[in-house]
Amino acid sequence: MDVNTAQKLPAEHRYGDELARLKDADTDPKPAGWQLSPRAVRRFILGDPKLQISRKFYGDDPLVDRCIVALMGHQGLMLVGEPGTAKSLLSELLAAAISGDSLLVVQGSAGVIEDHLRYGWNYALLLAEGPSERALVPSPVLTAMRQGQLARIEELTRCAPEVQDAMISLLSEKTIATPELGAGSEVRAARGFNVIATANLRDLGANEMSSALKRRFNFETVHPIADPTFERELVAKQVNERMAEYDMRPEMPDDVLDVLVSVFRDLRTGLTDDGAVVAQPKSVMSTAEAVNVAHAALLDATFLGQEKPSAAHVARQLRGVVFKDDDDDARKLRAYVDTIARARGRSNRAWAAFHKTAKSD
Amino acid sequence: MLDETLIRTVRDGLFQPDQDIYIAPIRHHSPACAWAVQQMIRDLKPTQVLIEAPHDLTPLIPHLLDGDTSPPVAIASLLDREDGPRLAAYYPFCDHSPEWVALHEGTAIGAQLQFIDLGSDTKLLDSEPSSTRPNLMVQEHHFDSGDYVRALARKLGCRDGYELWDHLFETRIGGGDWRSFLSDVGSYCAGLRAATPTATLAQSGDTQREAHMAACLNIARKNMDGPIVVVVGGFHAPALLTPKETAGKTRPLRKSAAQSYLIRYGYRELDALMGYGAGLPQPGYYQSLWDHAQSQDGTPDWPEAAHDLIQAFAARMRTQGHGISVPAQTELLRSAQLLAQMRGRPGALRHDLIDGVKTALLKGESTGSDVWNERFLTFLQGHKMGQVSSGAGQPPIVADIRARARALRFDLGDARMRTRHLDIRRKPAHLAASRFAHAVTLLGCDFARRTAGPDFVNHVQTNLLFEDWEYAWSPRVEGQLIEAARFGDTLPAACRGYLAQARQELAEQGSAGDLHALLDLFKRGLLAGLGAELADFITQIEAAIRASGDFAQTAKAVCTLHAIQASRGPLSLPTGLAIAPLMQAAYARLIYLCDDLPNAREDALPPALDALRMLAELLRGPGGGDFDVSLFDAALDRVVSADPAAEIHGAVMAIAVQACRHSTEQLAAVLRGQFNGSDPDLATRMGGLRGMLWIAPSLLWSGQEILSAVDDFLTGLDEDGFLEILPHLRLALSALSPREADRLAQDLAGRHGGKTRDFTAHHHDIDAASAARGGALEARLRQTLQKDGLLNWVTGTAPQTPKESA
Repeated sequence: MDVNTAQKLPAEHRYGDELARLKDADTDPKPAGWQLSPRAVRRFILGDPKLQISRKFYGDDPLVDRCIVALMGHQGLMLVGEPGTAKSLLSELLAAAISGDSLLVVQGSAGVIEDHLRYGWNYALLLAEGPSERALVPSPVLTAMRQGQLARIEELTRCAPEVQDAMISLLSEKTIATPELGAGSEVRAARGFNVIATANLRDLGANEMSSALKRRFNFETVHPIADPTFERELVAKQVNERMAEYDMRPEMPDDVLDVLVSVFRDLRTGLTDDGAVVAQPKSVMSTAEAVNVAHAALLDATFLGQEKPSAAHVARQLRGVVFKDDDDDARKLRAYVDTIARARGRSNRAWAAFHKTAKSD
Repeated sequence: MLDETLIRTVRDGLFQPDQDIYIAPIRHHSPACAWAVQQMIRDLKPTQVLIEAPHDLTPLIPHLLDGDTSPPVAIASLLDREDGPRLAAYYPFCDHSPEWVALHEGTAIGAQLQFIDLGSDTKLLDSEPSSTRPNLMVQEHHFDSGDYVRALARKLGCRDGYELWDHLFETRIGGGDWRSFLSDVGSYCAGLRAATPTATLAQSGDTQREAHMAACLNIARKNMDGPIVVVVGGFHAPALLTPKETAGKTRPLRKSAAQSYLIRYGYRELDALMGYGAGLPQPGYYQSLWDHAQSQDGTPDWPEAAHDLIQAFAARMRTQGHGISVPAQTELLRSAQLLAQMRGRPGALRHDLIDGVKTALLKGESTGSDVWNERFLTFLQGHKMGQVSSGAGQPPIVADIRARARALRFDLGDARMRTRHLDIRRKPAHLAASRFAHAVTLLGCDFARRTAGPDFVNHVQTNLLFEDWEYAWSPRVEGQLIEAARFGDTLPAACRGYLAQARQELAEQGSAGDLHALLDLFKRGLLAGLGAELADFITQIEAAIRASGDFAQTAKAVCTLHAIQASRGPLSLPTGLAIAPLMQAAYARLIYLCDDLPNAREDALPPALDALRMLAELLRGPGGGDFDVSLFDAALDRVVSADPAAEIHGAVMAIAVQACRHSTEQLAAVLRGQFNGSDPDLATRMGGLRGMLWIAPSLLWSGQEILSAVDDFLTGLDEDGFLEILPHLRLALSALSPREADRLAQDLAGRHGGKTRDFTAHHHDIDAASAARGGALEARLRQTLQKDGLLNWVTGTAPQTPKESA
């Protein structure tokens, strides 16, 4: 991999130094097949000022503990939660720290077939030599089993139920039979193998998970960021990163950012800071979506309107980016605009602008 | 003093063999501390044991030690004040309270026992009475908040002060070296104290309390030789190292004005997280830890302790019908133990077990209030209830209610039934008596029964001015009050407790969001005079409103809330309790739910129509000014454009006509459109008319357009069609009152050129014999009247043919 031009490097490269330092300082016992001890994995993710390890995951330390312990057992780890809550990041960090390799990934989708979880064939070799070890193309999961590493499956619920079923025997037997290579031929998982899956249980188009499969996973829910100040910072930071790609660098004014983050938090939690109740829409109101809206609003203001970004731009983009075409959600947004936004608009100009534009939509 | 120096001073000064004084710094209800205190007393065999508890409670020690008393129990102290409500506070004990252990171990070796804190009256006056929870004489907020605890917790990877405490100290339960354990608790508490500003100490009354305890210690030292053990909250230990300096000129053991009683207590109340207790949360868990240490007579077998606990949990769940599979139990224990290992603990502690439950039992997305998590926390809380020896006196609530009843001039002299006639709207004293009676009734106590007067809860005859009550005080009443003592120690507190439980029961029945039931309870609370103390109720009602999906129920809630808001009688709101925001929230929710009207199911139509009528009346009336009516209008316009059921369409249009937003012509056009529509079912074609009549029957005759639309429709029907529609027509017109029906009949008759009388039904199925009999009867009657000279008087000026009407 060319580390200079790649858009994004895997975690074990990005944090190679930190991992090396942790490994040197690690004196605690390691489970078989693990690169680091459980405590060192925890330090890698939650940070350790002594070894200059940065904190990479915020908000829920006991969750990280539970994830690490889950991976030490026989069950897989299933990370669930709304989109945009850093499930994939956590899975990548865990794989990088425990196996030193976060690239054994299967990206779940409707197009995934069983072969993607087990193995396929190099058909040219298969025709030339017949089934042989050389002609077999292992899946990331098979590779992980052979090497005693962690396999990652992203968006498991997007796979068809029969593909998910393949995971059941794989997780309970920890073996993949390769009958083409001869009777009794199979790959048994080396110690250290386990699976981290991420899933979204609420999205449309996600398949239901069978209870047999559920039993083979320990579930951990990654929640949205609870601290409003931190969320605001995170949105500002990520929007600035995205805008860095363009020549112009418009800044989102503070009051507009406040409106944006408040709207998302109110609608996500169903409760405003002052205790008023809000009907929660079905649409995903995650931090990641807030960044999308902020990004779109900035682009709208800068390139189309050529004006200072305002809460009116946020209101305009909110419809398109978040409230796509669900009538019920539109109703809930209208109720929010009619009551909360309107009341706040009486004493705050940004909210007034938001209310005016959202109302006229 | 430098923090480090302070810590060293504490470590060196806790045990002073030269003075024969040994200080045990403890945390309330901590089994590890209780263990250390037990070892310490057995080891030192002191002649005196001094305990940090109000000194005026010392006479209750024999009751505490009585064989019939079993924890959890509490001492309740009451203080009557002239310038304010009576104050009450509790001092709880459980099996694993260091104070409880100190009392029993001290007695066992024949030591003299004494409580040394300031009198409970001073503590009561110092404490800020809270409206939502019982007041405690044990304060331990230092352990769970503050920069020191937060920083230390972060450093050790613990999520809060509770986990930190468990991690540092409860892991050491059963250890043989009580000296080093207590020294470490002392150091920890010295750290807490160093992070607390001196001003805060003086403000919270701690300085005064410490002076008192030190003075007691000095006296004890003077009075008797031999070792003294002082069991004291760790936070105060540093002040007792030099009792002479701390005491100054304090004169201890002043007489206390408070009354104290020993009462039964429960683990629910003891749980620090329930907002009642101090000490550690989930006492059931710590009890099991204590029991394990006791049965091992030393360090508990940690894996076995965790195993037993999970087994007991699984068994409990099985009896409740929620079995936990063996693999899940194994996984739970495995995760808990590995977590403990990773976090550097000898065995799975409370938080490790809770995490284990999350990992092993939760399948799917966690929502923050997961059922397994809740079940486990409830299990850890335990449900033990204490016993109190019979000689220990009467619970405070009985005394409180008797005092209140006497002050309100209820005669409690004997058990005879008496009556009260209360002028609740004009005499404040009578209103207070009414509230008292309502409150006692709320507690489920048969003291009083309302025999007449307004019924605000069911909204019946609310305009009546007087209330009549029957009442009698009996042993049965007393028994019921002792039952109700678990809700609180005073009448208002007990009512609060009762309402809290009623709400919890609603939640357990799965109807936490039942707006009607919640508002009922709220009204009963208002009638009982709870007033501003109902504030937390509002939060729950607000949540129910937020979750409400029922248009009719929400509309009713808006009307009820508005009625309460506008009420000036016994239901009136006290200052400080604002329900206007709640009412607005309900209104906002209602506007939101309006968009469901077009999709309402057929069986939901009548309540929805009723609700629309109520709302229309409310918003058109004087109450309309409290709401933003334009939102309702806009919502109704959306309903119209979303092709609703015919009834809703007619009703909504009728509201718009009444509000002068639409003309009667528009409504007539809608009705005509439905009448002349292609729906094969005639009943459906009349839906709009039904809806309109439901909301505003008067529209039928107030504008000619509507009447002619209806008339045209009916006259256009053939005989069969008319017969088919007749039942529906009668149903639709049944919304009219007799006067309205009469009025309509006149109008209709006028349209078709006649008088109402012309259309009056006549019966023609009288046979000849009956007619002859009737004729004869009439003739006789006429004769009699004529004989009496009354004929003209009866028939007026001209004789008339009597009607043969039905």
